Amino acid sequence: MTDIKRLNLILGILAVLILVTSCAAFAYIMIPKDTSMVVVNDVEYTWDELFENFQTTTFNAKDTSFEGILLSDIIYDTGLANPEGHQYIIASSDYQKTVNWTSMVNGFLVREGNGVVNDKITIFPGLPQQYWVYDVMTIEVI
Amino acid sequence: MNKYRILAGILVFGSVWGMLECILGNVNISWFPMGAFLGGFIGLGLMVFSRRLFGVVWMQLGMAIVAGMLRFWAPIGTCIICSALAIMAEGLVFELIFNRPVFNITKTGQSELKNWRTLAFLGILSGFVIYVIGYMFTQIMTPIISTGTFFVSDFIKVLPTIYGTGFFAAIFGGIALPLAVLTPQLSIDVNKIKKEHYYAIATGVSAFCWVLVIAFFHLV
Repeated sequence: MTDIKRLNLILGILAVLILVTSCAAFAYIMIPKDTSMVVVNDVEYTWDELFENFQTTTFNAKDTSFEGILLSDIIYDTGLANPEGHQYIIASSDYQKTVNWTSMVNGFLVREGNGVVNDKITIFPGLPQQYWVYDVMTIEVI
Repeated sequence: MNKYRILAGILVFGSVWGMLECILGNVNISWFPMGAFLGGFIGLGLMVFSRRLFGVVWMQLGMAIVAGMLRFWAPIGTCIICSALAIMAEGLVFELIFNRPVFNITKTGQSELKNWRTLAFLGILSGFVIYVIGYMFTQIMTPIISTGTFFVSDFIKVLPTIYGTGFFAAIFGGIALPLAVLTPQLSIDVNKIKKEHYYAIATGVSAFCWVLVIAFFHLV
């Protein structure tokens, strides 16, 4: 087999491998997950419970007005002692961000965003949008 | 080739790339993978096209630096420096792939790299790698720059998303590379363009891109 043909074969195999595996990975991340509950520090909340029982605050992020619950209020409700001494992993099924207590005091849990977004997300007005976790499922204390 | 022609080429292609990154990056269409399109089609396509036209290695890293600098003027998201650095990283990855003699896509390259199938395979590989590296770069740099911390567990958890959305960048790359290399209408000899026309067009197009971005994000 000539070098050219070998190159073509190697490129072809690698291309197919990339397409198949990345397509599989995409299919995996697209599998619908149950986001009806949020588990915060091992305490389960439904979204309806959260928005009925906690005070909501209107705030601005990315030039848009949102209404949400302060993340620190939910942590207080779970009865965690010394919350400022911990870090928090906010996670969906395929994404997570770890933040400190200062961010939790300034971060919000939002259910709908005035038509701009219609997801269950955490928004930190003072942090990059990379910290917006969509379809939040757990907030773990570490 | 005259070094001033190359510099003008870097400026004009980098400006067009940066302008498209800023304007299209601001468009939010929920069903369309814009990030993969920008990396796999626009970025890769422009770098391949300019490599074909000029045949100069490391020029595309210069283009990426110009595009990254223009990106500083568009406050999309809140870590502008990370996005700008990611574009520059994409340029560096392109150079590392296409500076290899075996992937010489210029007119002096091997005949097999004029074959649409080989180019499509190479486009799939390079589109995927350029996009994935750029995405990983922002996932690492944004926490470091914005909070001073980086958690490996956060990075590991996002890897399936990076890899999965790379599928679209691979598809776009598989289209962009053969298109930029084989389309006869895109085969221009830049050396034959009259000097006064060449620099006038380069200056005009570059100025238009910069003015458009600054006006779009800061005046409108």
